Amino acid sequence: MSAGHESLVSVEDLHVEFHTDAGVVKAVDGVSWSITPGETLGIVGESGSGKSVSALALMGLLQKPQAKISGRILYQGRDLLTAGEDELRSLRGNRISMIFQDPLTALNPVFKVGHQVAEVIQAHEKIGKIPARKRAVDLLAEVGIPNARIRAEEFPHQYSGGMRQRAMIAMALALDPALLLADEPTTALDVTVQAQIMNLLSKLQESRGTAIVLITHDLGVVAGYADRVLVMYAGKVAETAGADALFHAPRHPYTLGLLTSLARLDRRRTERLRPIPGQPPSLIHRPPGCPFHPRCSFATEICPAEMPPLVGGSSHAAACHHQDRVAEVRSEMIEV
Amino acid sequence: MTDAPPTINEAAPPKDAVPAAAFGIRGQTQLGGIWRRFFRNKLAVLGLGMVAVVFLTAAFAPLLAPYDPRAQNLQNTTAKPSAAHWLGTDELGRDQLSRVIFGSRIAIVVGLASIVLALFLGVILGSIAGYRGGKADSIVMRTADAFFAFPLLIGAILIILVTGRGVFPVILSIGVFTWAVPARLLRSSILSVREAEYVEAARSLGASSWRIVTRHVLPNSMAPVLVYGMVSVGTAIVAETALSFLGVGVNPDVPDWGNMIAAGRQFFGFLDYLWIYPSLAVVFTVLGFVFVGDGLRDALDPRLR
Amino acid sequence: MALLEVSDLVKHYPVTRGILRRRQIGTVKAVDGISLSVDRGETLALVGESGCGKSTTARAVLRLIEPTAGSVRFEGEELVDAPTERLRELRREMQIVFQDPYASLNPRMPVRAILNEPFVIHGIDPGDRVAELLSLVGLAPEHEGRYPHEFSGGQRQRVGIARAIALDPKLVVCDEPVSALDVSIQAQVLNLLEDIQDRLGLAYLFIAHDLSVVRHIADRVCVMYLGAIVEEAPTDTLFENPSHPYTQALISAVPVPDPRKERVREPILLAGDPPSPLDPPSGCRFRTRCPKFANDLTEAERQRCIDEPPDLVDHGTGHPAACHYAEALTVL
Repeated sequence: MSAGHESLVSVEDLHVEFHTDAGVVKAVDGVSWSITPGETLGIVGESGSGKSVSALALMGLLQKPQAKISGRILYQGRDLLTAGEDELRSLRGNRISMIFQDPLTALNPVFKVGHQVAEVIQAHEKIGKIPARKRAVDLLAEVGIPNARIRAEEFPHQYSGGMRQRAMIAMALALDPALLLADEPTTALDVTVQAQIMNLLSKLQESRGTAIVLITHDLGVVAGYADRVLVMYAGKVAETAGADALFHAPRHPYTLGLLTSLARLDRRRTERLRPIPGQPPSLIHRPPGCPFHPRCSFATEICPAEMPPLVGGSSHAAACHHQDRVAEVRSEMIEV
Repeated sequence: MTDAPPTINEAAPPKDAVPAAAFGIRGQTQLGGIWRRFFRNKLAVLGLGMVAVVFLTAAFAPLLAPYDPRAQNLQNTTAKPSAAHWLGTDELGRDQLSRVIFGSRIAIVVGLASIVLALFLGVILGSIAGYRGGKADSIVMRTADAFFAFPLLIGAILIILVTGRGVFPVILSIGVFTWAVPARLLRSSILSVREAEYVEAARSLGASSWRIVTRHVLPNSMAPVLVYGMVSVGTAIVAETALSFLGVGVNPDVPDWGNMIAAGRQFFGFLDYLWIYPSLAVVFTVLGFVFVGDGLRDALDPRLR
Repeated sequence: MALLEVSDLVKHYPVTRGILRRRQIGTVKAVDGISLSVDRGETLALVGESGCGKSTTARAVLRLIEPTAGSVRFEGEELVDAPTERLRELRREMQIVFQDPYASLNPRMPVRAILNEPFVIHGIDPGDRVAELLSLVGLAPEHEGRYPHEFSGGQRQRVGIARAIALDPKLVVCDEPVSALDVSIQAQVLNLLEDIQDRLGLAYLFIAHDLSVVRHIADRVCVMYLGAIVEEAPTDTLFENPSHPYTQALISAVPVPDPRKERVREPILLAGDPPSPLDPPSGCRFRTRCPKFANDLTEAERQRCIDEPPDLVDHGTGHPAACHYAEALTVL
């Protein structure tokens, strides 16, 4: 899905397996995507889809003996999966940053917030403590923390959830990274705070040209902020498209199913919702062929037999044998 | 898109997202998993074997022992190990091997019984403290602190000075000075389980406090207590041995490792076989329980490693 | 007569200091005077963000938490001072479904025992009810011997629902019943809740923070902020013509899965963070974050907001809203 040399980061055929007591978990099973500078890529999926794992693999945050990783992750020509720890460390926080769902666990409770932000700066730049502190305070102000100078001297537990998330964003963007991985950044936040944080991220992105990979299960957030979307299911890519195309002309039954099963804020009540039947599959005992087929109303005999390849153009592709039928049917179900 | 009532997916065991194990976090503990983890731990299995050996020895002592452990033979005192007496004889001509074998009975009986008593007291008092909270909690915990602070052996000696020597006084005194630990463990466990939603659910159904404690809170809080119990059997055996060694344990004529070591003390340096073998027996037994206990703890919650 | 009638419900938590002699240095006003009613067969939703007191309200109504003051009447009978025995009998009529499917079932009890428990507690012979209940919620009766960990999140939630309806209650409090579930499972469980409601004639007090779900399932909605209800209206009215600035901000902040709509929407952004329930602002508790207060009011009008707490009455928009200057606005 990359436009060749234009892409900032390109993930190629990533496989991540975990060997556990219960069996081999194929968390990510042949996933490829890429992101260009300044764009926002939304990666959508439910629990078990593998969306977070791919981001963690990119940052080199998966514990090696338990996790078996293969494939390539290219950043500026370098394959991050073969990079040494030193090289990865010089990239993390500096060129590629990550923010997490729970800022409480990402921030160290025993250090002041300002100190932690300054630490990130000092880890990558040769500047003294005082200038680093000053920049930290400026950053905290930039992310909307009031009275930043005073607040920098406080500890994480003295901040509210929204403020902690802002602090984490400050740390992540301190060195103007080219890419920011945001793993469910607003899931734990109230919706009004979520709006503030997403607004902040947009503004920062505009002013700095950061590319953002937005990993979430919330289709609303993706609709509001992503340029392109990748839908993952059971460790594989189900569909990838520009945001408009995905929401208004989906090609994969899972995407269609998700969109039609959502309760809508902007519509009067319907009689019943239209759920996707069944459960997400276990990653240890995955259904053969297409992992979605047991729950799919478009499935035929070919579906359990053969895993459908990702078919379509570089701008819109889906892994389904019956994309055309989905296209025919969807206009009855959603606004196209 | 079918609208039929959704049915469960027959084949699927519960879905596993990124297995928490990959990040070194505790996963779900289920019986199968616990067994598997326990048996993969070589030391734990070894310990289990060792404990089994001691148990069997105690159970079949009369069959295993070549002589009556109390049979004295004043013609043949302090004889060195030989074909007739593998571990030699003591100062009254009694066969050492038989005494070591029969000594395992006391060790097991006292070890288990005193811990059972400690757990019994600890569970009852710990439950009261953990579940009722408030004043009851304070009273029980301050009392436990007092027992904590008191050294086990000294406390046990004090009790025995009152009651006299013997198996029951030993069991009683060890139990009385050990209950504080499981009480505290259980109380912490209960404090967290008490707030669990399934406990709230039971209350919302109208369940009585008794039912909540016995059916919901205790079954889910006992694990650390049981692990502690297993590990501390070893401690109890050492305590019993020490008490006998000091002359305040079981009666002197009973075949008991502590008694044997005490008797052998006077021959330290030249007739070492008199105290070495019972000492080795104690070490062997205690190590066995410790290995099993550690293995159990790791199997129940790998994070605690 | 309404099935459930709550009047001026209050729950305050004292904040104390000291080990031996506890001095009270403050009060967390979790619920600060709530009144609502639920009729037979209807679904009343209680929405708000974290810390607004909706979960506390739900539990206080069922007396899982003891109210500090106020009245809760179930079919006309007062619950707040009801004796323990009577309360236990009444529990058959009012049940609760919890949010977390992983924590609300005892991990050591098989499903059969979990569903038998309501009957055992009240001394009723369950007969075949367990198998019936499992079928009713879409689970296979043959799986009654399984333990909770052998089920997925959605299935566990179904067990929780089965437990709640086992004794044929009239009112079920649903505390965020689908928030912890995957999106593709939420719709299944919501449909189940609605089916059961129709079949058994249940009333629901539905606690949620997800407004899309609320729009789908509720007949009427109460919006809570910092321990008080700030707006109350029938569902469509609330979403199409919210009158209280908080409701307006809340609705405008929820993104909808439609990029074209999202492009043109501008969420109303609130200033700062919610104040602490230890020390709510004087007068109107929303004024510290209220966009109307900050941008649209005169000095004199603002003073009124600071001095006078607004009543939850109709200020001219057709339904109760606790704002002196309530004005209906379309934010969707």
